[in-house]
Amino acid sequence: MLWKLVLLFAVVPGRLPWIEDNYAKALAEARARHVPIFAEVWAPW
Amino acid sequence: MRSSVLKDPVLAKQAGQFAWLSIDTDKSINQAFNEKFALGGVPLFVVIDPASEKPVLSWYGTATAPQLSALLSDGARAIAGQTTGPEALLARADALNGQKKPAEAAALYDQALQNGGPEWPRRARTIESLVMAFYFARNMDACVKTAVGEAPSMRRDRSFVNTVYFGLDCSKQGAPELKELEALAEEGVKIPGVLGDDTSSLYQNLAGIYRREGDSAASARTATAWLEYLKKQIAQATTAEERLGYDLHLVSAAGMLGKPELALAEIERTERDLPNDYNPPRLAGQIYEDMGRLDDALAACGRAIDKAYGARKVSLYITRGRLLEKKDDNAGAKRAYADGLAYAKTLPEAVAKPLLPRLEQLAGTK
Repeated sequence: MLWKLVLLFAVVPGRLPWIEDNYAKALAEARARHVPIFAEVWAPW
Repeated sequence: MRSSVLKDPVLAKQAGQFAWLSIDTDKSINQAFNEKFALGGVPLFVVIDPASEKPVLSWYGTATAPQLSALLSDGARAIAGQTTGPEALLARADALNGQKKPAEAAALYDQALQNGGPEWPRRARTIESLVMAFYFARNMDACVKTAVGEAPSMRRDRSFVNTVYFGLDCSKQGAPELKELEALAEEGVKIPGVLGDDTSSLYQNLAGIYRREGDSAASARTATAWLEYLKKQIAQATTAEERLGYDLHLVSAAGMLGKPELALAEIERTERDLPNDYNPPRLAGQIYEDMGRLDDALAACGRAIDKAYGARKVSLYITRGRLLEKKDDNAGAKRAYADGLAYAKTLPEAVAKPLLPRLEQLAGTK
C-alpha cells in the first residue's frame, strides 16, 4: 500500500507538480508525504 | 509572476518538500479555502501545516524565485519548530499574519527587527512583512512611518520597491512624508532587475499619487514613462500569458493618460493569442467603452461573459447592463441585470451573498 502512495505522489525532478483547485487532495498528499502544503492563490485578472 | 517565477528552477529544487496547491480565487469551488486562508488580495502564497491545517506563513504580493524559496524554507522550519531568536519571532509573526491577525503580527515583526539588528539576513523581508501587516491592519500612519524610516537604508532591490509601494499606498493626501516617499518611488521605478509586476505597480501608484495631489504634469510624465516601460516588457515577453500580465497594467496606464486607444492593438493581439481567456475581451470592452465605441464594447463584453466564471462573470453582466443603459436601451439593461442575477443565484451562497443586493436593485426585483 505504501509503495502505491509513494508512486502516486512521485515528483518529477525539475517540475512543480501543482494540484489545481483541490485543497482536500493537497491535504491528503501533504499528510501522506509528511510535507507542508504550499498554496499559490491567484486570480485570472 | 505565474508565468515566470513559479517556473524557475530554483523552486523546482524544492519540488519534493511540499504539496503544491494552486487556487484560482475566482472559482466557486475554492470558496471554503478562500474563507479560511485568503487575505483579500492576490497573488498570495501560503504555507500550511497539514497536521493542524493552520497557515504558518502567508505572503501577499510578488516575490523573486530566491525570495519565494527562502519563504518556503521559513515556513517549513516554522512547522518543524526549528527557529530560535529573531527567526522564532518572525515565525510567530508569520503564523499570526496567516491567521488574519495583522495587528498582532505587526507587533512581532517589529520585535523581530529589533532583535535581529541591522545585519540580520531576514531584515529586508521582515520590513516588507511589517509594512504589509500595518496595511492590512489599516494602521496607515505606522505603515508610512516604517516605509519612510526603513526604505532609505535598504538595498535597492524588489524589497525596497515593495516597501515604498506600500508606504505610498498607506499615505494620506498632504502627508508630510509624501515628498520623501515620492522621491524614493522615483528611484524605485528605475532599479534594474526588479520583477516587471513590481516596477509597474510602483509606477501606477506614483502616477496615481501625483494625480491625487493635483500635480497633473508629474502624473502625466510618470504615466508616460510607465506606458513606455510596459511596452518594453511586452516586447520582451516570451509568451502570450506573460504579455497578458502586462496588458492589465497597460490598459490602466493608457487610461490614466486619457488615451485608452494606446492599449487597443496589444489587447486585440492577446485576444487572438489566448482565445479562451476572458480577460482580453473584458479589457477590450473597457477600452472601447472609454473610446465611446459602445457597440464594440458590448460585443467584447459578450465574448468575455461567454468565457468568464464566478463573481467576475456577474460583474460582466453588470457591465453589459451599464453599456445598454448608455445606449438608452433600458429594457435590454434590465435583462442583462436579470441574467446576472440568475447566474449569481447558481453560485455558492458565500460568493453570491455580497452580489445579490446590488443585482436585485439593478434588475428591479427589490
